[in-house]
Amino acid sequence: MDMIKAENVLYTYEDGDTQILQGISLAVRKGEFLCILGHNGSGKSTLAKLLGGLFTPTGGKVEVCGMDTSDEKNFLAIRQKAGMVFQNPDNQLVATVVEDDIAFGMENLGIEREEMNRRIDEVLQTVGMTEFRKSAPHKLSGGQKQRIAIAGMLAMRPEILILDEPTAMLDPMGRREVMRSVESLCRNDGMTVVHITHFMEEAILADRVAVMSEGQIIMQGTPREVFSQQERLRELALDVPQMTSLAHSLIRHGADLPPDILTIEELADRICPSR
Amino acid sequence: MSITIKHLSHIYAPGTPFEYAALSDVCLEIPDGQYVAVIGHTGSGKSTLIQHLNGLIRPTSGSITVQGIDLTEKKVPLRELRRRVGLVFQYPEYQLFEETVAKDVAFGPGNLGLSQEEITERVNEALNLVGLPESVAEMSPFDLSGGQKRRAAIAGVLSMRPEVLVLDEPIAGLDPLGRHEILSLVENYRRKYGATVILVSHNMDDVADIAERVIVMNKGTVALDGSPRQVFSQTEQMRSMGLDVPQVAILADLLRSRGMDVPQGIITEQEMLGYLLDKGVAGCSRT
Repeated sequence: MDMIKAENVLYTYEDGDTQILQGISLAVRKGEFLCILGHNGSGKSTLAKLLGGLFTPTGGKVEVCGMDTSDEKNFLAIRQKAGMVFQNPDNQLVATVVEDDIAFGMENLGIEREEMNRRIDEVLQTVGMTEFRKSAPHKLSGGQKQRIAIAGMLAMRPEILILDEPTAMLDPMGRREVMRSVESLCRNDGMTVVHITHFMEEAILADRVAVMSEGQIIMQGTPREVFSQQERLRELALDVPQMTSLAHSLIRHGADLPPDILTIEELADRICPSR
Repeated sequence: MSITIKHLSHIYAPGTPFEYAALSDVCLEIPDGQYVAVIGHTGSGKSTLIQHLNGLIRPTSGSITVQGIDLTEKKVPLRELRRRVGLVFQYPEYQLFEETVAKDVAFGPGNLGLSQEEITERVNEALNLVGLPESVAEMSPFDLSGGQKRRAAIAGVLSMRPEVLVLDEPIAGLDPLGRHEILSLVENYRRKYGATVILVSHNMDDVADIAERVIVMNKGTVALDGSPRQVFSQTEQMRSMGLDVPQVAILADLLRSRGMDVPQGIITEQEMLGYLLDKGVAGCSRT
């Protein structure tokens, strides 16, 4: 079942000059982990906002759980189905105590106090932040703040999480914390995830990678399929994971290696199998 | 001239319940023209450290001398210090404010009492160094792309021609091409003026490629200090501090654990490629 369906989506900002998205068609399946890559200005953040119903297309159609995002009467329901988390952890937290921040979305949905408490416990556990329930958000690290932002979304029981470069401002530890939570949400809880990133190592975790350039999706496939096309990605000013790049250099020197190596372990196994 | 830091400690909100020692007993000597990377996870004290370098904050105890200026004196010549030490903050594009890019870049030099010709020359040079075309000079900085905005903001610091250039995560949030552009413009400036560069970054693969020296901050102290080769060979210690090491260093460790004689200190893709070609793994060869 398709959780999100975009059909020939066009998007132009109000000045009318620049067509940011030029005919995007994309379907996201239930429980899928989709990663969107692309250089700065390729239109990927705009696409994220359209998939989450924050923007409505200037042409074509976006459906979230079967609801047309252009139809005003669907706005509230769509916000509940698709939770969004953005780049800057400091722009997304509103309350002075973690549990109040998580309650914020639920309060707007009119959820009973007991149920709220139950959900706060549950979502804090999901993102591994239980001990910070009474903490002040501004005292948390970037990775912790982003996990609270995700928890706040989860409390509204969305079916889709759309993450627009949630790790861009984090240090390596924060990045790992956030990606661990996201991966577990998708793999263990069946959450549908659309993740936008510049980090190729994060894209390896996805079921499918879509590469954007000039407002179009120009490559799509499993991480293996996409990253084995190193030359094409380089032309688009994108990297491949470092191990893929190293394997390709070896292949150019005659090594007998598959072109779709992604991880350190895979390359090590080919070079020197463990005994 | 150099940067000398002796027993530097910095305590935030001393005497209150929020008292927090961000730096304790840091000693560093950074000679002129060195390319230094400072790494450490959030809260390790690296931002506090670099804010001392141009006098934004003062030491709680200890001493710091930058380009001959003693920052523990009662009256520090801050104007002179900030002319000589340029600090590029995180997300510097948020600090653009003028009507045009040229005016924004000219703001710093305009406060140095230079002639109009000299200012114009510096603006042109700075825009050239950051790779922004002349056509951009008369545009509003707010009409530029994200990567261009960041370069315009950096140009505003380079136009002061600082002897010490400090950059706090200048490549955060950029795509691979954008990262490469920023790092090469820093390198170009360094070559041209022999400037000292102090770069705060989380991107270990980039750090391994460019820096001469890596300083690792942990819990307000200097935990490791050495060449990228020395520092990134300490994979265990780095990881225990919540830091990444370059992927190649992890591969080297793994291959070693399987009995290959990978030399210590292989940290970049090129070095690993050279080693594997010499070994002829999987049938590859140098030719």
